[in-house]
Amino acid sequence: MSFGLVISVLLHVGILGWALIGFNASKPLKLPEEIPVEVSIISAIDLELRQKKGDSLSKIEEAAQSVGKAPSPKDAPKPKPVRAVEPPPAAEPPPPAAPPEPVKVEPPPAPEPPKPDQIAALIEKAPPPPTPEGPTPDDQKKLEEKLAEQQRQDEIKKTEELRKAEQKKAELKKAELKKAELKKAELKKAELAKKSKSFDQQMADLLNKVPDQPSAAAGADTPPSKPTTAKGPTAGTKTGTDNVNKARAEQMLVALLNSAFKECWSKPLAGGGVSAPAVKLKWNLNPDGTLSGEPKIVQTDRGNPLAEQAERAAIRAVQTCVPFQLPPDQYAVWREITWNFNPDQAL
Amino acid sequence: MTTFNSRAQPHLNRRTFMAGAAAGLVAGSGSVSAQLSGEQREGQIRPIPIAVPEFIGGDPKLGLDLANVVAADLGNSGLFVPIDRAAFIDRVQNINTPPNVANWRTIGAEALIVGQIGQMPDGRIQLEMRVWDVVTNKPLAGNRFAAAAQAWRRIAHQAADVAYEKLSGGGRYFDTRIVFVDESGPKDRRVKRLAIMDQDGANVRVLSQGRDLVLTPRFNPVAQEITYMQYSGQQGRVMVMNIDSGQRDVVGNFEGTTFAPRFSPDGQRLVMSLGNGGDSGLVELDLRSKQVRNLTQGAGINTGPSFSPDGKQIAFESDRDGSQQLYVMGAAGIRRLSTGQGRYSTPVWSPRGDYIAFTKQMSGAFLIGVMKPDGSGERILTEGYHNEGPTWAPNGRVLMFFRESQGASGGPKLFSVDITGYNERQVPTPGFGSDPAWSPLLS
Repeated sequence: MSFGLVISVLLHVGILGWALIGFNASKPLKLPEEIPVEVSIISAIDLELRQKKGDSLSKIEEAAQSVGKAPSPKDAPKPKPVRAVEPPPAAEPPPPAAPPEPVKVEPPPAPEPPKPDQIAALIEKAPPPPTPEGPTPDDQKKLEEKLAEQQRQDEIKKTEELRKAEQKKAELKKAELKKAELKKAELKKAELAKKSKSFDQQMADLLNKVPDQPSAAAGADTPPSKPTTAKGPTAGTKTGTDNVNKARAEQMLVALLNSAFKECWSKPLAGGGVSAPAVKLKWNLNPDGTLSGEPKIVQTDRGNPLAEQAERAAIRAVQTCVPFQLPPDQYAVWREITWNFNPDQAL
Repeated sequence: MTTFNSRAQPHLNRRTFMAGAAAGLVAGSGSVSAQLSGEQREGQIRPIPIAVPEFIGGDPKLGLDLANVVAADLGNSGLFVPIDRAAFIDRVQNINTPPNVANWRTIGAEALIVGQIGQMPDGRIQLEMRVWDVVTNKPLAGNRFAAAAQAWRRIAHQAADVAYEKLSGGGRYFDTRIVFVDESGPKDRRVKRLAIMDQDGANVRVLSQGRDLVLTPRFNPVAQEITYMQYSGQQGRVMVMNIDSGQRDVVGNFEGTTFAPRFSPDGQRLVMSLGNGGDSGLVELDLRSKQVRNLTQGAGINTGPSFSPDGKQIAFESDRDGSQQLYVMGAAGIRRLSTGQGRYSTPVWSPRGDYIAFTKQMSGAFLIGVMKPDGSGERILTEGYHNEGPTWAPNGRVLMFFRESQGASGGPKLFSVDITGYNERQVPTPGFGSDPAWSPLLS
C-alpha cells in the first residue's frame, strides 16, 4: 500500500511539475502580438507625418527597421524569449540564415543598406516624391488599408506558424518530460523495490523487536546475497544481523526497566552516612513478565555493613516490579536480565 | 542516569561496538543467547512500608501498646512507615508459623513484625518477636526480651531496635534516654530544670528543682551519668550527676569560670573551657586523679571541646584566626576544620567517628550541619531561625537539637533529624525544651 502511495505521489508531482514548466514555456507566445502593434505605429500616417517634417527616407527606414526588429540589447536581456519569438515583425518572412539575435540586431549608427523590409519596400513603391502635392487622401487611405490588410494577414499567418512551431516544441518537450518522468519513476520504482524489503524488515524489526533476523545488514541498502568476504571486524554477523535495530530495541528496554526500577527500588540508606554497596542481580522472566525462579545475586560486597540491606533492597525492587510490562514480542531479549543496583553516593 | 555495564555482556559489547567505541567484537557474537543488562542509579528515597499487628498472647492491651511503641519507633526513624492496621487482611495466629506473605504484600507491606507476649516465672513480662521480609519471604530476626511490668516500654524499644538494625542496617538507638533542659514560665522569667525522658518523649522525669540555672548537660558515653553547668548566682560550676542514683558532685575547683564540659569516650575525663578574663582555654580534668591539664595556650577564645570516639583528637571552636571557626587538635598539632562562610560553634564528634556535627551562624540564622573530620563534605541538615545544641544518637546516624521559635510566646523545642537531612521530626516534651543530650544505649 505504501509503495503504491509513493508511486502515486511521485506521478502527481511529476504532472504538476510538467504543468508548471508547460505554462512557462507558452508565455512567450504573447510576444508576437505586441510587436505587430508597434509596427503599425510606423504606418503610412506616421510616414506621412515624418515626410511632412522632412525626415530623410533613410532615417525613416532606419526607424522602421529598428522598430520592426524590436529587440534592442536593452529590451532583450533574456535571449531565450526572444529566440522563442523569433519572427521578424514585418510581413516579410525572416531570413533563415540570420536569426535575430540581440547582439546582431544592434542598430548601426551609420546608415547601412536596410534589410528587406516590407514597410520600406512599400515606401519605395509608393509615390514618394516629396513634392508639395503629396499623395491624395484617397491614395493614402488605400495605401493605409492595403498595408493594414497585408499586415493583418501576415500577422495571422505568422501567429499561426508560431503557434504550430510552439505546439510542436511543446509537444516535443512534453514527450521528453514524460520520457524523463517515466525513466525517473522507473528508477525510483526499482530503487524502492530494492529498498522495500529492508525497510519492511526494519519496520518489522522495530515493531516486532525480533532480533537477528537475517534480512538486511545494518547500513546496507541491499540485502546481502551471500556472506561477506571482507576481513576484520564487521558490523553484525555474516548473515546480515540488524544490530542497529537490536541495539535500539535494547536501549528502549533498558530505559523501560530503568523507569520501572526508579519506582520500585528503595535505596538502602540506613539513616545516611554510609554508602551501601552496588548489588548485581540476575533473574529470568516468563513471557508474561512474571519471575521465573528467584533473582540471584551475581555480585555484592559482603564487607560492606549494608551489604545485606542492599541485597534485599535490590531483590525487593525486582519482586515489587513484577510482572514487568515489556514488549512481548521482544521476549527473546528480556528473558534473562542482569541488573546492577548501584546506590552510588550515600546521603 | 543510565549507564551500561560492559562487563562480560556480549550484547553490550556489541552495543558499544555499534556506538563506534569498540572494534574487537568478533562476528560470531550474535549467536550468544540474548541477555539484557543495565545499571540502576535512580531509586526512591522513601520509608519502607511495614506491618506491625498487635502482639498476641497475654493481655491484649499490652499487646497493642507494645506493638504501638515498636511501630512508632520505626516510624519516627523516618526509614519506615507503619501501615494502618485497619488495612490488614490477615491476622497473626502464631508467630512461629511462616506468615501468608501474599496477604501482607497485598496491602503493600515489605516487612512484617510479629510478637507474642508472655509472663516469666519471676513475674516479668516477656516479648518474643519475629521480623519477616514479606517480599523475599524470609525471616530476618527472632528475639526474646524480658522486663519488669512497669518497664514494658523498654522491651518495645529493644524490639524496635532489632527490627531497625535488621531492616535498615543502621545501629540501634531506640532504647535510649534524653536529658534536656525543661523550660517553663514567661520568656523573661524562665525556670530551667534538668529533665530526662525516653528518646520518644515518654517517661519524663525532672532531675533538678529549678532553683539554680542549669545548662549544657552532656552524657557520659559509657554510663548513665551526665555533666552539666550549674549557675548559683554568678558562679558557674561544672557538675556530674548519676542519673539513676541522683547523686551530684561539683567537679574541680578552678580559679576562673569553667564551662562547656564534655566527657571523654571512656568516661574517665572531662574536657572543658576555663575562662580567664576575656580569654578562655581548654583544660582536661581526670575524674579519678582530679589532675588538670591545659590543652591550649595563649590568648583568645577556645571552647566547645569534643573528643573523637578513639579519644585521640579533640574538636573545638576558636577565634584564633579572627572569626569563630572549628579546629581539631591531635598528636600532630592543631588544624583548622571549617572553611565555609559564617561562624561555626559547638562541634560534636559522632560516636561512629565519621562526622562532626556543628552549629553554624550565617546570615542571621543558626543552622545545624555535619562535616567529615577532615573538614570536607559539609552539609546543613536544618533550616529555620535558630537551631542549636546538636547531640548524637548512639548509632551516629541521628541528631537531636533544639529550635527556638520567635515571638513573645515562642520558645525552644526539641527536634531530631537523621544525617540524610530527610527525616526531621519534633520530639515531644511537656513544655519548652532545650539543650538535649542523648544517652548511650541502656542495654
